[in-house]
Amino acid sequence: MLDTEGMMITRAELTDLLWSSDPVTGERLPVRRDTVVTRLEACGQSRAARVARGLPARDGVLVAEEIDALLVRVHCELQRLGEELQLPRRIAEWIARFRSTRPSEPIRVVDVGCGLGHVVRWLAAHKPLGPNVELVGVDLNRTLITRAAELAKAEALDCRFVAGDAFEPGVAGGGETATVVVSSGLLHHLRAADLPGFFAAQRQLGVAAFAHWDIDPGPWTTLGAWVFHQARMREPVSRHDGVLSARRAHPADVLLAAARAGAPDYDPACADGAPWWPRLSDVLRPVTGVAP
Amino acid sequence: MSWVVGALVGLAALDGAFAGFRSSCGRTGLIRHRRQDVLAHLHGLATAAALLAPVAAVVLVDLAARPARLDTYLDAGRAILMLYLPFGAIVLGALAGYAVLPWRHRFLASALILGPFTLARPFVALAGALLVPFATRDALATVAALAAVAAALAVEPVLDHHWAAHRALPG
Repeated sequence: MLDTEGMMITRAELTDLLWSSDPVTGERLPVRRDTVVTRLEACGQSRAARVARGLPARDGVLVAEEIDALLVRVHCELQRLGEELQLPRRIAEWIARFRSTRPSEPIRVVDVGCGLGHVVRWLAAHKPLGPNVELVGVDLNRTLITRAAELAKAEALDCRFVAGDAFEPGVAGGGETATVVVSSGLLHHLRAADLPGFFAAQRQLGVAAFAHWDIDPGPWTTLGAWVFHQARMREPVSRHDGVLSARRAHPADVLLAAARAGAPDYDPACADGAPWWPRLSDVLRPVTGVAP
Repeated sequence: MSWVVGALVGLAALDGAFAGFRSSCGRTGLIRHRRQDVLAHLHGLATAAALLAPVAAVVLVDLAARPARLDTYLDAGRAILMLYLPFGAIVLGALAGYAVLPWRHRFLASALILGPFTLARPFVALAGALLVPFATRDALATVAALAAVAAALAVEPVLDHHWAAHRALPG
């Protein structure tokens, strides 16, 4: 199916459709339930459409407070999976390796699309990167950012959260501090055509390095995603989106080509395992780049 | 006799505690949640005890009235344990692995055992109860086994319902 601009409409995660904001002001926009259902049915996502049909709506518009609460619950569940995958440790390990080349310099770690800020809060709680590290989480969703900040405050964690586009000047900070941009589970939310621009934006900002973790796609990963989302997740939205994430994750060659197109001088790297062999310890792998 | 009863009680207690833990996981978003985890285990244990108590009471009343039926219940217990003990041992082994493995390899325990076994648990629980009629040819023992399985499987939904009713997040 094609949209009004003639672009192919691909399968969508529910969490991408239930929430929308004005790209200029960041203000929340109303989302009509029928629009979500129609969009999902158009792509043959009948189960997701059924889930969407059951979401609370007032005058046909999804109830913002209910959707916010749902998104927080979904991200809390996702955090639990991240814990099990040891995701913050993996990210910390990479940043620590990068930092070992410049141990005395202060750095800023910016987690793009941070959701509830699990990685940033974990880094703040466990301090694996040593002193002089500024931790920033950025997400377009104000509800998640507000909740992330509340959670950080509840545990007295030294990190901050910003609602907005991380690549807009001044949003995630600037100045002389070397910035490392990371993300987890973000890249599959972007279309392949938009990936070069994503990497180019980081190059344009002059970040010191980037490392974006996402699912290594393949039949084993999809099977594992199904098992784990059935076993660990309670929300039907989480179960649906988790499996779809694995199915639509970009292969390493796509990510690598995009990173080379957008940030060629960052010496990008990314590698998938053999598709027929399960990589149980590396379900998520990074695409990385370091400034020359 | 004592090992059968002890093993059944022990497995029921562990299963209840783990059900409590599963029900609480991914609820609060906190980074440091050890205290919540301990409480969740205890909630699971208490809920399992409350839900299984009526089944235990029925069996005890029956035994008080007809002591000769002890062998029937022990046969039922041995049949159930044929399935539950290996299953429980594998899960405990995986948990031990999760605890002692280097962090990079901890997910192996989850990916290979803990995740799939969580999915398989209801089916294994039911299969264990369905062994009872073959081992005992006794209707009451079979009903008691099925009721115990239903009670054990209800622990997590009951606690989930409690979470859904309160939906309290720390702040």
